[in-house]
Amino acid sequence: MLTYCLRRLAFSVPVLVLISFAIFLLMDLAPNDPTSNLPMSIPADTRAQLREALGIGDPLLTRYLLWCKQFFIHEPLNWLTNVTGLALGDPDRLRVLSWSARVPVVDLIAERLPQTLWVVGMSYLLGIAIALPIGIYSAYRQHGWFDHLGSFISMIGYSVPSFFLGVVMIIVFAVKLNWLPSVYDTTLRVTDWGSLMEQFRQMVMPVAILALYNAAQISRYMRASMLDNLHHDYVRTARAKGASERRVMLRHVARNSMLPVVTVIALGIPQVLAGAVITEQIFKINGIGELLISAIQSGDLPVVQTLTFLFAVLVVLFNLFADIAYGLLDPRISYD
Amino acid sequence: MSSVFKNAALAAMSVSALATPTFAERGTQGDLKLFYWQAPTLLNPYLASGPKDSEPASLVLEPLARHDETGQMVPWLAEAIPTMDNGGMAADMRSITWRLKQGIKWSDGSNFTANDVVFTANYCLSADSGCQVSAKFTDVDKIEALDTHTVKISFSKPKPYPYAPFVGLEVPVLQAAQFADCMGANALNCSAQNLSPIGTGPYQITEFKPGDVVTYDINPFYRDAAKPGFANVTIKGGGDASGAARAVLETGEFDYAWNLQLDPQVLAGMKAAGRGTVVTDFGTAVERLQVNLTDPSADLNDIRSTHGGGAHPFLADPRVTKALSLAVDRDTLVAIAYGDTGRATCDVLAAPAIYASGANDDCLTQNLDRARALLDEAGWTDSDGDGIRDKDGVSLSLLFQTSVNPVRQTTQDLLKAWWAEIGVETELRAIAPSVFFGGDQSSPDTYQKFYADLEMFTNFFPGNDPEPYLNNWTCAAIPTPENGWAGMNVPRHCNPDYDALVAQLGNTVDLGERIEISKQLNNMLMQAGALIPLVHRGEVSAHAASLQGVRMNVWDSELWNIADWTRAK
Repeated sequence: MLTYCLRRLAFSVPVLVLISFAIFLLMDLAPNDPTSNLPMSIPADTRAQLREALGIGDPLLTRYLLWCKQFFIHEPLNWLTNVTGLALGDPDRLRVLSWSARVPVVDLIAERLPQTLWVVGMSYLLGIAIALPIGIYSAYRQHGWFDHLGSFISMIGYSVPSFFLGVVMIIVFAVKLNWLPSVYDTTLRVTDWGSLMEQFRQMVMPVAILALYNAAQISRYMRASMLDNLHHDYVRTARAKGASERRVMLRHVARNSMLPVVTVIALGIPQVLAGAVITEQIFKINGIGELLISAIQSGDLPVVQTLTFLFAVLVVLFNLFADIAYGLLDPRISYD
Repeated sequence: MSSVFKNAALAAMSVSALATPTFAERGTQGDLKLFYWQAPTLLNPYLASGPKDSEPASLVLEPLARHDETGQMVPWLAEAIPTMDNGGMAADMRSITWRLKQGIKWSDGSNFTANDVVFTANYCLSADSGCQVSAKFTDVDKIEALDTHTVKISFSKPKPYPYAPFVGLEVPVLQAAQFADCMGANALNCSAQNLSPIGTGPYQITEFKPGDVVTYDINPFYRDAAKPGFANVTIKGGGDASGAARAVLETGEFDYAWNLQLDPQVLAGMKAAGRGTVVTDFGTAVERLQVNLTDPSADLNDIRSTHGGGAHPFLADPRVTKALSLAVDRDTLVAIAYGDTGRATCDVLAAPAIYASGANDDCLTQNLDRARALLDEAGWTDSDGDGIRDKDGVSLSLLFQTSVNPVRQTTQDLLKAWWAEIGVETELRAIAPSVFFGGDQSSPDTYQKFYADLEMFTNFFPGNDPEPYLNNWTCAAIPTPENGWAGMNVPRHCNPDYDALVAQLGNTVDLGERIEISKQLNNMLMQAGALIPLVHRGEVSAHAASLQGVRMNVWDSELWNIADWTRAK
């Protein structure tokens, strides 16, 4: 198992290097100018100087290698320095800086991560917690009223876009009823019961919307997978042995049906960390998704490059986790 | 308690009671929450990218003089505006001398001196600094501190209007001590300084999350002991203009929302909730059509859209552009797309009011018949009966491009319909703003390459002096492949008389004469058909009904007088 994991990790290194270069190339080919957002009154020669100061004129390979050096060497060193308190290497080493904010990209991401984890992560957990029972029971009572209701709700979750649902919820709960805030306060610190309730109130709407979408998706997978397994011989055997329905469903069918669902869930986690672009915009959560979008709009290449690369890392990692989880769920699968 | 003491106390109480509505004590007004939906990313205006950054910075950093809401200069960190009359301006117009107010302190308690001013200029002018307002220091030869509170700015040539350096929100004074290590190429890497500059303004930054939120508390060393009224300020960003408007006008979560360019019906609906007020003011921004006076045909390859490729087959004729202008019903356009935030205009120099020419106002009313007559007169008739006018095998068919923006696309649709009525065919293009306004040399779609017949965007000038703005349409400012498509003369207008008059403006001190020349220049541009102005655009913001003291200002930071803001009880 360990050798398998190490082998997979070793394989992923060239893959990631290739991905990072591909991202760099793609963004270099796209028409892009970080000075395009400047007011028109700023003359062209100032813009040219600005671009030069940002290093845009350098050859592609120079810029790529510089990014690699800053990201793979300087950033980890900096992190180690912060964690251990030891002075490692040159304290003035350049980190990957955002063009529009002129601060290290990694700091920006760290600033954005808490709200993304709170909202998107919570909605993912909630979505899974709702989806699994719905999927199991819908399959068990296929064509029953619960199944129809479940299908109906997941169709809504799938088909109603969050930019519509979000605005409707704001109009109902924030504007008309005045129960919940429409703007997420990222400076709120949870210190006592009152601020915890405040945090809860500002999370209700975005979490509900995202959880609905996640639940819709996962419950469909769970239901389909359950239906596949319900007609297998081992189910009949279990029932013939006199096992209770509860035991048959949960111990046997559900466990076996989890295999493909675990893949879906594991591969969805990188998207959790990538944030929810639209929902974050609507509720002004300003998490990772909003960071990516605003960076793309303002032509902030270091931010886009670093974020997309981190997403690639996460996808590779969670693919590995999903494979390992197979082995744990199904003892027949072995990697040794 | 002795009766004397008691009386004095009572008198003091009654004075403060009387003064309450207009005069508040420092920090007694609680929290102020502002919404800048385009979130600030950098609080150093010298490196920042626009008002979304420089306005939040204006709570902290201050210039020597600001513009008030009428566009007049008011001394801020200076004692007075230097003029010829008060001796602050040299007789040869080659230098001015600013006297700084005494006793002003930075928020860290150190003294504000002339050295800070001199340092700031050097900071911006040092090579590789990436200073985006270096144009404010054009022709500055030397800046020197005559004593601790006197700064002399010398110019390399006579400057009739010397109020560019350190006037307005883009050019405030930085603290020399804080930015000492940030000269030149280091400017871009001074993250800590750029995130949290020390200033002389009413507030100091307590926390800044770029692209998200800024929080401030009161600068303990602020010069006016009674101000500012609000103890804490938060500027939140994110989302879009409608979300920002909703947070102020409908839910009341915020006190002030900036830049609400919204569909007029949407804004009116939100206003109806009665929680807040919408404030509009008109600056110098004019949405205009740029007319390509050169031939943009693709088969010209390298010389397309340059004078080398020849004149435009039909737009070079002012009668055609005049007809296009007359076919537009500007009032309807404003009512549909802009609402209270726009006014019809026929001048590209529409403000300040004293500069408005008014000589071209015949285009304010739509006149399709006259437009048709002008095209007939120019020889454009529908000879083949396809509904589109033509002449010598060329049909009056336009490619009209602009940036992606709902208001602009509405405008494009309206113009296309009106032009169809006078027999002009229009093909519409909408280009992503980051490409259209970007300077990417490899992209054929930038507004400066202008590979189209018409294009539309807004331009403006900061402050209240139009000279740099009028300089945009000289022959030297034409974007060409040779100069890397730099330059703002997008219509490729080139007239030696115009250039001569602009040069004359540069040597004229008298305001009356400056106004007269500026009007003439505007009229020359209109008569040449280089530009078709459409809408004089206002700035729109909204504030809570309880917020008092807002004096909407398009000439400087909207938050310029935030120290005076209070909350109604």
